[in-house]
Amino acid sequence: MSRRPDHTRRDARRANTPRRVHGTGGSAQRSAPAAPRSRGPRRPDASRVSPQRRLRSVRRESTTSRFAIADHRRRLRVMIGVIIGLLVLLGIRVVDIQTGDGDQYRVAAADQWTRSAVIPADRGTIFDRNGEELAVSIPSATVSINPKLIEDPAATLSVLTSVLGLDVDEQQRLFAEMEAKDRGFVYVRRQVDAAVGAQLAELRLSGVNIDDEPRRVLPGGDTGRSVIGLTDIDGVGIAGLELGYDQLLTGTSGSMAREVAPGGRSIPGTETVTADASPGSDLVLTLDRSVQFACEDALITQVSAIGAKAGTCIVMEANTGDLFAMASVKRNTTSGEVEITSGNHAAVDVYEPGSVAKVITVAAGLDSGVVGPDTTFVVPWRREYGEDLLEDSHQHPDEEMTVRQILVESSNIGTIDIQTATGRPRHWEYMRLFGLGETSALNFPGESAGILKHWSDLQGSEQVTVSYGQGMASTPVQLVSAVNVIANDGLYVAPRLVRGVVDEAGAVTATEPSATHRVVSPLSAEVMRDIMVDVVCAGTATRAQVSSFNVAGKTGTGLKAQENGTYEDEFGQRSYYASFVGFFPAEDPQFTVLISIDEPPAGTINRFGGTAAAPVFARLVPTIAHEVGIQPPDTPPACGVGS
Amino acid sequence: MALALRDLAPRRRPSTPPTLVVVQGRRRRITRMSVTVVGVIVIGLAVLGVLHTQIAERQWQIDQLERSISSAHEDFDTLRALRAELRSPERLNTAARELGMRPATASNFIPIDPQVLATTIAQTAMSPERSAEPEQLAPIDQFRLVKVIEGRRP
Repeated sequence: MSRRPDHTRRDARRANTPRRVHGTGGSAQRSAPAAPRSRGPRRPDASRVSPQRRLRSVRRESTTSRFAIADHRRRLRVMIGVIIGLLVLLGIRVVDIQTGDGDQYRVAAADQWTRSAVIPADRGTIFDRNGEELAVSIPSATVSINPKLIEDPAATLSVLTSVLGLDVDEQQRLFAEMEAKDRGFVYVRRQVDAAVGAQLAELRLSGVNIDDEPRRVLPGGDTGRSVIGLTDIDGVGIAGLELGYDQLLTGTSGSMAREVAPGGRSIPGTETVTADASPGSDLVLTLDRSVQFACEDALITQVSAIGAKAGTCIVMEANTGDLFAMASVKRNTTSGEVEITSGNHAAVDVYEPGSVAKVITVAAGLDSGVVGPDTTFVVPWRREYGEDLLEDSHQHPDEEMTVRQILVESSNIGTIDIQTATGRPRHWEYMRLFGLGETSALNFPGESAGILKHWSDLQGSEQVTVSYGQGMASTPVQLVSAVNVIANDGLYVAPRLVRGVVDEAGAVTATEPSATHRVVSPLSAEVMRDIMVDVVCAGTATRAQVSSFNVAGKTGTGLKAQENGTYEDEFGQRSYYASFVGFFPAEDPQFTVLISIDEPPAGTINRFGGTAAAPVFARLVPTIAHEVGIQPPDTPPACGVGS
Repeated sequence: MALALRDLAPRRRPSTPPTLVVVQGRRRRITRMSVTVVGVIVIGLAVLGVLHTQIAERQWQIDQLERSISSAHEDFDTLRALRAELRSPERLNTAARELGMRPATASNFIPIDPQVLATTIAQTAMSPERSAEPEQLAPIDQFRLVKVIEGRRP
């Protein structure tokens, strides 16, 4: 640091001196007289001013001239003050920009060199009851281009083709887009394998974007597809549980910012998550993947073997209403192959159930006390009702039949007699109690309520045919729930497909147990179980017998209504809906199973429920028992195979 | 060699001897304080710079870690989908058929004599619990565990 010269310091000292001693008077006298200034004309005449005033004037003048250096220091201080003031103002402005308007400027700056992208939220997983994945979202990549940024269309297309295996049409489409440069975004291929996406990203092609986009897959193949449903390519549920629980499964998307180079290409490693994506919740279903597969496999085998059109299988736990399986298969009209359907026909389609509905009629008669199992009716093989002649499945002489026999032999006329004895209004009320005519608690997308007219609205022979399942319609899930009342000691338990929900924190929230209501007394249910065992042992369902277990059930062979409104098409042909609903073990029912075969070949023995559907039940029971771990009772079955 | 040069400029002799002035303590304090403030600001700025560097470095490490977590999460999803596929009845059925196996045409439950069962357990030190599948987390429990851990992330 340089020192000030001595004379300057002296001058400074001098300059300071008067100020320090100003007003004392002594110093002013020691100072040299000041040079006169050219301010004479404005100065007042000395003769007219007072001596004191003159003295002050002299002092002022002498001070100014003697200590002129003090003005420099003052100016310096003023300048420093001004600079400090400016700096303070600058600081205030900086603080203001950083705090008050900071966000606005930051956003404006970020907009120039960053691009934001949506982080898709992980869609929730769908598990079966044992925690096996039925539907999961896996990482995949979506390739897109910005034609405006592509420098060499031919080379870019060549690379994309070699990596993605684009076909000629795709190549032509993309080349046209690259040449036209009209649009800033064009999909090349969506949801390709993540490794392929990573491979393309490594190449850092100008104008080619690789984005993460999860892909929905069913790792178990088509198993459970009818129930799980579908999502579209954007991961939005469009069918089945994917649709029904779309809001729950869909999470909240996040956002990400990434820096871009002047060419518009992303700078690797600059991605910053600005808002985390929140994954959707997960569903735990009541389905058992193994039982579901067994059902689908058995249905495909049977529908293929007998040449039917479609089939349905439902396995319901008797006391909880949990559906362990809900399968639908259908013959592909083009290929002729029987395939698992994407739609859940077990909940959506309605059929006239046929003789399975006799279970309701007989149970109503027993529970209302108008008949007992051994109450007899004289039953002809046919009888006229209104303008229609209704008949049993086979010709027989007028015979005295007990209620038990009527159900075991599945007599239509005898069932009408029981309904008549019960009374049509009361019979209708029982049908409602059994869950017919309203959608089940599943609330499945597109689920049907079935068709059950009020008893007073029924016309002609419909008034009585409803007693044996014609003139009304139900979904398979309604039918299995209705028969399950007998298996569950007379208590209706609503079917259930979702067992619980896994939230974001991994906690499982169990769904409410299924609602129940009393339909028939436990005693009536027990009598019905006993009769239904006879149906399997000696009636129409002998092919449902299995070794080791007592089985109870009822067959049904319903006529399908044709487009012309009758039961015969223009060629006089009839179509059937063959079904069997049974439960096991009969002495302590654990599971109720429905098998239905849609349009079995009309001219063959396989058109009946006892021949088309009951064998599938028999095939499934050991599998279900093994998968679920049901031990056979100690006592051998009354009529099981090999007993 | 140094030469003493005479200052030829006319030197004005002071008419009065220089007055010695005692520098006031207040000014010294101001000077000292100014130096201190400037020093503190400079050091503060330097510390701030270092801190910024540290923060940027840590942020980079956090970003790297988050990318690793995200990558591990993707691997987890891919692997559990693969495991579900491998364990699916459909694949097992296909694989079994390729090995020449066929579904059983009939099945039966065979009762075991309790005496035989007891003897077998005693001889092999087998218990129903031990003969069961080795204890391991079910897929859904593994999945939940990961969710729980992720839920704890700040």
